[in-house]
Amino acid sequence: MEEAGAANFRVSIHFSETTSELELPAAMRSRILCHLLVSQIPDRGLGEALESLFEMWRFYREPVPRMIEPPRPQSLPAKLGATYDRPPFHIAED
Amino acid sequence: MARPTPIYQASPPSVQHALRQGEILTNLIQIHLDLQTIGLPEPRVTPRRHEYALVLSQDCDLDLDFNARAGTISADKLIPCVLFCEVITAQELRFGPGGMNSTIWGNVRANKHERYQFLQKVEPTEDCSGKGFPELGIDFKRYFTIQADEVYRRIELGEAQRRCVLSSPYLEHLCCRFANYLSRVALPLDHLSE
Repeated sequence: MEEAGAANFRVSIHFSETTSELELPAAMRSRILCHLLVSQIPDRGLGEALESLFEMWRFYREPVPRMIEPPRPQSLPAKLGATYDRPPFHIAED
Repeated sequence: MARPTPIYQASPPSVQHALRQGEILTNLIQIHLDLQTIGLPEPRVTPRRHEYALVLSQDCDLDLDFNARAGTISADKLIPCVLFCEVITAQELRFGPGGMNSTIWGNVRANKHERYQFLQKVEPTEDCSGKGFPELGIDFKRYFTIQADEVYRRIELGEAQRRCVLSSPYLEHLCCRFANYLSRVALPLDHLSE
């Protein structure tokens, strides 16, 4: 919980299961950890955290486009020419 | 945002001019020999089409080679192959196999990741064909060569198209980054930070 004057900030997590052995999905665990980490960043680091999070938010809100698979390449018959030795190359003085 | 220097200029459309370093070609075919047919009397080949490819060979080498092919200077200036790097759309680079997270993509897009080059989109006015193309990306690991005379022949036949050339200093920026990537030094371990 963060308090500043009359404003305060709380994050609460509600579990709908009553059993003591909760199975949290990995994504949920990550969200909780993110909240925990952000809440522990000192004020001087919040600007940077916000900037980073904004970039991530902007990155991940774009839907992943469906990539079209290129057609499978077809090989073609080729005619083998005669093997020859690479001719020597001459170096001219510039 | 208006730029003081345009990033691209349209390529000459024909083979009357030498290829340029930093030139982007489209529909360039590269022939691959099927490995299973090596040593057989009837080998098979697979044409691989590069939707985009960027010329990396040195500009003066390309110019001298072109003049040597025209017979105006000595044949020792011929270069056997043109060095290219594969170019894909920035979207393919970002969302392709393996994908990129937001941190890596942020560095790539700002050309701060040593392995990749991001190129802004090409406006129709900067493209020889007048069509333009989208934002592009280069992975410096993916370079290849094609015989110089074969490249000119494919352009002459209209199979491959010359589209645009990177302008200075964006050309030098790309070439320096490529050369830097090729000459990178692998360390056994990074410097330790305490």
